[in-house]
Amino acid sequence: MLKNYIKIALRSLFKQKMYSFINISGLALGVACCALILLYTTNEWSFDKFHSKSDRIYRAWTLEDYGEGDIYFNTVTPFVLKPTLEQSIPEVEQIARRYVFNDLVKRSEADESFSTSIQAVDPEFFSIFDFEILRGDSDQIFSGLNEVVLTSDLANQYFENEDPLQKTLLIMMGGEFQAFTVTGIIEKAPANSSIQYELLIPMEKAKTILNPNSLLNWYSVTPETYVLLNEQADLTSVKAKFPAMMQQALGEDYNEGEYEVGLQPITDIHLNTEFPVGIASVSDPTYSYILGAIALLILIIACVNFMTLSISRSTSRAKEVGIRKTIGAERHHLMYQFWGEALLMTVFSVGLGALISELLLPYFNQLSGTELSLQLSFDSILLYSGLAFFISLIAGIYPALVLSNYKPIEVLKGKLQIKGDKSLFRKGMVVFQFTISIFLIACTLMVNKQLDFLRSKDLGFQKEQVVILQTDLKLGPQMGLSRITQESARKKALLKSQISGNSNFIDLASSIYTPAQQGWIGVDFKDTDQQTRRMNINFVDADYLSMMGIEVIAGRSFSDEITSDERRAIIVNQALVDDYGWENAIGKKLPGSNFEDHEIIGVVENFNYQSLRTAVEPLALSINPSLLLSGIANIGFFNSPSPRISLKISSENIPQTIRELELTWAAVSPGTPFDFQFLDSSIDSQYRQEERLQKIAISGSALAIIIACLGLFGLASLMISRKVKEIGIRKVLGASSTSITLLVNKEFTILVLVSVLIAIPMAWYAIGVWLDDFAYKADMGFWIYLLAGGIAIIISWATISIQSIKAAQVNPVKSLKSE
Amino acid sequence: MIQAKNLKKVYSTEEVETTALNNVNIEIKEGEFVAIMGPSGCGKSTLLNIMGLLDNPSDGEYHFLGHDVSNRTERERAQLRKGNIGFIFQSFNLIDELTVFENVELPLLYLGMSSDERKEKAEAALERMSMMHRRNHFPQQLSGGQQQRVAIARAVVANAKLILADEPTGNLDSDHGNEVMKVLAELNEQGTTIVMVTHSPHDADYAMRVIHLFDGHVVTENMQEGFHV
Repeated sequence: MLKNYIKIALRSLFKQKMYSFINISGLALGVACCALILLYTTNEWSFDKFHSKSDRIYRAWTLEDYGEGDIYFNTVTPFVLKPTLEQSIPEVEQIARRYVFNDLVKRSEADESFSTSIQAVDPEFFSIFDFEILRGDSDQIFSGLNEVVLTSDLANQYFENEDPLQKTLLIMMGGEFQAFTVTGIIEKAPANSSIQYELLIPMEKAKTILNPNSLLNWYSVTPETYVLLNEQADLTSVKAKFPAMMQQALGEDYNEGEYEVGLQPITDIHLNTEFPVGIASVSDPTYSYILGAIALLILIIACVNFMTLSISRSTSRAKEVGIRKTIGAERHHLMYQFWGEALLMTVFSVGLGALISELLLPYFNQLSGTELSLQLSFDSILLYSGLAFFISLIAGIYPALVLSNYKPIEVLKGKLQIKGDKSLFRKGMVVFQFTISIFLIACTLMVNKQLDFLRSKDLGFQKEQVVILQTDLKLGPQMGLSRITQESARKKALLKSQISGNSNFIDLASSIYTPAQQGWIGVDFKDTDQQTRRMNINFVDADYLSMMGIEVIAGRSFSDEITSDERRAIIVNQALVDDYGWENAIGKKLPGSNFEDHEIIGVVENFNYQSLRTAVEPLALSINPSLLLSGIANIGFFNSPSPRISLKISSENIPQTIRELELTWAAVSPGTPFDFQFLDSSIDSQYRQEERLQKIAISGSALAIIIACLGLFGLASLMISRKVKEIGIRKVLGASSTSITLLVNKEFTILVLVSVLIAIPMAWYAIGVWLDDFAYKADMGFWIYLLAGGIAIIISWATISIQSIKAAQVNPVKSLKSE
Repeated sequence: MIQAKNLKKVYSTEEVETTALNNVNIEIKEGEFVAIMGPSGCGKSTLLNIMGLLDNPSDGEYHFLGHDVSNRTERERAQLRKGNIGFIFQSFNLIDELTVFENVELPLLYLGMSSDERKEKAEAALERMSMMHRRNHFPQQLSGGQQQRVAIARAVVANAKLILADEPTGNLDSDHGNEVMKVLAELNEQGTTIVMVTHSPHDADYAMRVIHLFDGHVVTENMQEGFHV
């Protein structure tokens, strides 16, 4: 019996090639999407679970709350938290801190150095986590200070085929290269680990180059602190001990509720966006939701196709049903048969889908920002078979029910009325498919428009042909902000003298931060009324505003000629003037009482130094860092301060200009890597998430509309096969081919129009939610929705017309005879 | 074998009610060859469908092989049909996707026979209809007469006691038609009960008895004097 079913299924599959193609390809696409999304979400959910002690490992956090919204919530912690926890909490088994910085590393004095991510960790790092030490004695690692542990990849890079153990590596520490001995090789962290590393050094060593005050200070947060509790520990009772611990640690500075310490399970880090980002990367689950929803919708659309197409094919299968019933088939025989056919078709689709997902994986990785790989395992086979079974059940049962219910006499006598031509269910399915398609098209159009807007909006400064050169100047024990500013001014002057007269270089200026570096430095201070004032600050040289083309709307810009500018001049933006409610800012002082002697000499327009997600926030600029730093109460760095030189270059022969700059830079700042960016591309890179969303929306809407049209095509052929007689009679009575085509198209156009009406409010709402993230929004005219609907109508007309035009041209004699 | 008492069949749509059969009383004994004649729309096929357990009467009693089957569910009718009744249609109604052999084998599949048994019986039936040489062909590759012979082979393969033929020669030329009628007559000789709906007086001559229907009523019932063999 089974053999007979399979035979029939295969033969009808090949007999109706077009339907089989539509069904299988549509479902395969749906399956491919689903498989990729499942892969993605399983990966997301599996983060950090591979550690054997993952249920006992926590990341510590601190929360300082001084009232009135003056809150500092961090997942990077004070250095002193580790010893304090070890002393006060008996349930603590081990603690490892982790702190990451970039610096230069080279094999030997003669070699070229590379900027490398360096992690300083406590020795406990190797016993708390399951990262495997491949070479070296794990108990002895980091017993000395100048030791380094490398991943095998990095070891290969530096030492190629040599045995890396006990070899020396030079690492830039506190301004000079120091020799480190390789004492261990560690396995690369799995892709689903929040903690990633390449090169590890002892925390004790890193502490030697840090400001000694920051090592004891409870208000300076740098490393992540990972805590392993013992097996008997009760988290609630551990947490209950924290206030007393803090009271003892802070002494007279302690006020109840002002300084809180807590623990976050390590497995919670990856997908929890409620916590501030520390060193471990965090994934915004929104994108998984969007991806997941789109994949599911595409799969549903494909399943709906399967149903409608199977039923539309049923006219040709009806006779078979009649015969089988007449000669003894019972309903369940036919149910099994048709469901079996669906299963067979799904198995093909799933096989093809698995292949497609393998092909699409690189593209998908780009969309989702992951590095996933598909492996053929028992699990994946189980997953695919499960998917096939599930889809065949969803997509095959309804057609099986309909087909097996035909009355033999009716079908054999040709009296069959296919139910469903009036059925709301199937019309509803078309509307459903097109609603999704139109929704996705509208979202795509909108994301495109917003991105265009973000890229083309006048930011209030010149962003084209500006090259940003990163200096190697960094904060350190002997390098305060004032010192690195002066050092940067010196390098800039040197560079300026070297390139003057070269027409490829138009202008240059230095600053600590450049646009697209988040909020620069965020500070707050108490004004004379004890009210907290917030603003962002940056330190620039006298040429910066004019070089960047930032407009001064009141007062004047900094000037090299006026010597007091460097000492006491401040320029603020209009947002700060508005925030403080000033009529005229020129000559005024910031309202804090602790600032050094200063004067506001100019107001610049609100240029967008941050991403367009945020409205322009109050800003103060000075040449002299201590001027602004003196009076503030709190400071927050979004990026570690490091001076950059911005150069405006000619639009001609840019590659040549960059080569010249590289040579000049090597002379001005020997040993510093030539690390440059174009300002416009780094501004664009702020919208990478949106670009990803754009790609997702485009792919999703294209797939959805393709699969929906495949279904529409099948449905149109069903409708036309039922209307053969009507079309024949109309033609005999004198109807033109055009009027017949219109007649057929009309019915579907109505359905698509209904979809437009449903999709518009959905898209309008979704777009609104998404745009809420932006302070600056493109104008979303109603035309976007009309365009989306228009696209759907045109595509659906093209699809139906292929069939309706053909039907309209059939000789009526033929169609009436066949009735 | 078949007893129908006061059979009535009414088809109703939303607006019209059509009486297809009205108080039909028929008795058919085992081994008979009965032809049912009458103009289009007189209820011939409706009667045949009820006899073949494809449909239930609206009213009246119908006994098949001693069972009262007037009001059975589709499932029960299908059970009774299996192996007992074979059908032959004007348009042959073979399944296009199956070969000659597979078409003939199909009723045995639904009877749950083993593959060896099916092979033996199907080949015997094809042999009987002289169609063995075409066993691997598909229906479209055969002439109308050959297709009908395959359909007959399928009807008899399970040793059906009753064969219901709905205008079996309607789509055939006279040569092929005669051929088919001879096969039916042979089957009848070997003991199979045959009920045949036909328009053709020539075909009806093969039957022992002819029932004439008009507007849903039995008008006459004639025993044939001598019939062709």
